[in-house]
Amino acid sequence: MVSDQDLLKCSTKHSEPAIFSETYSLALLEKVKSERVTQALTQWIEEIRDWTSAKAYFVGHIKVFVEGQENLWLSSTGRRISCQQSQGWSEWSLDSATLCVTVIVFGTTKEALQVTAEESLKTCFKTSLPNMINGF
Amino acid sequence: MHILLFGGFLGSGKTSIILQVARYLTAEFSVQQLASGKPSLVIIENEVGETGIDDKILKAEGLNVRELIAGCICCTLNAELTVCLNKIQEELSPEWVIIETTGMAFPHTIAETITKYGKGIDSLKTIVVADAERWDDLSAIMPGLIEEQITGANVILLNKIDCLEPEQVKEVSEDIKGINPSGLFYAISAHEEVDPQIWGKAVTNGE
Repeated sequence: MVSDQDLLKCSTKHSEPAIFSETYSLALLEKVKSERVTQALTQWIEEIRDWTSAKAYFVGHIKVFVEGQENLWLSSTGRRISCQQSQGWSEWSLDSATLCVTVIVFGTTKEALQVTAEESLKTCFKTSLPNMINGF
Repeated sequence: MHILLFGGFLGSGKTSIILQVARYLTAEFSVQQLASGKPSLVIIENEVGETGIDDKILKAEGLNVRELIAGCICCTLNAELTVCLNKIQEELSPEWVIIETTGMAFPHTIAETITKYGKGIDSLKTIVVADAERWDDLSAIMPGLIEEQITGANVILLNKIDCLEPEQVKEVSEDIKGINPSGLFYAISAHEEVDPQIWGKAVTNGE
């Protein structure tokens, strides 16, 4: 695996971004409506967006993909949040899924981005799905 | 193989546009599958993050996707791209290959590599997506990258024009045409379904 330094050697004309890119296995204690997962992840993107705005960082992109029987795709460049989903997402109740997230931000460090992104993700899930979430 | 090489900064909407182009090619040329059972459209997806997301979005649409992740094909994964492309040619020989670069890549560098080392290539078109919503910010923060991505593109798609007023779209369009006067230029919003006639002209030259 190459380092972040190596990843962006090509981009010598601008500062290198911090990258947070993770996969999580979501395990819920009982089935919940997909809408609550959408709510948690939308709130997470908003929190990342607010953090970058408050610190005057620049968002490359924020992307979220929930993969299961149905799929959810959220993305933002720090402005509006685009939400796309598979046809049956709204009607789906889930107790497990795979969550993939990637956040690319200019102006901060990988460590600071990781701490903020992970803490915020936990908080958002605990708020939207209290006492329901395992797997983090 | 006809190759469509997509570039453009992070968040400009490359994946959304590729989904529409793939649907267009599938409908227009019935390229989803040849009689041999081999796909006639293959997408090479390059992402800098260790967790691929765009590849999953495209796969969820039933598309045939190869991933090159955790690196950039215009530098660290340069050799891997050539190997991947030539393997696709040998194993599948599809009619179309779409390559989605990372938002940090210089498409002309990749085009040079493909032209030099790629096998079985009938045509190569570089399509760069520009973000209308963030044009002013990006032009100010990283003008070198943005201009170099657009310079030399065969086609420039100014995306997210729904976020701007018509007068602003006109100003951004003029900026872009000033950077690359010879490229085909289309102002679109991939948030909605794009007129297939635009894909006909931008992607296949109306063939």
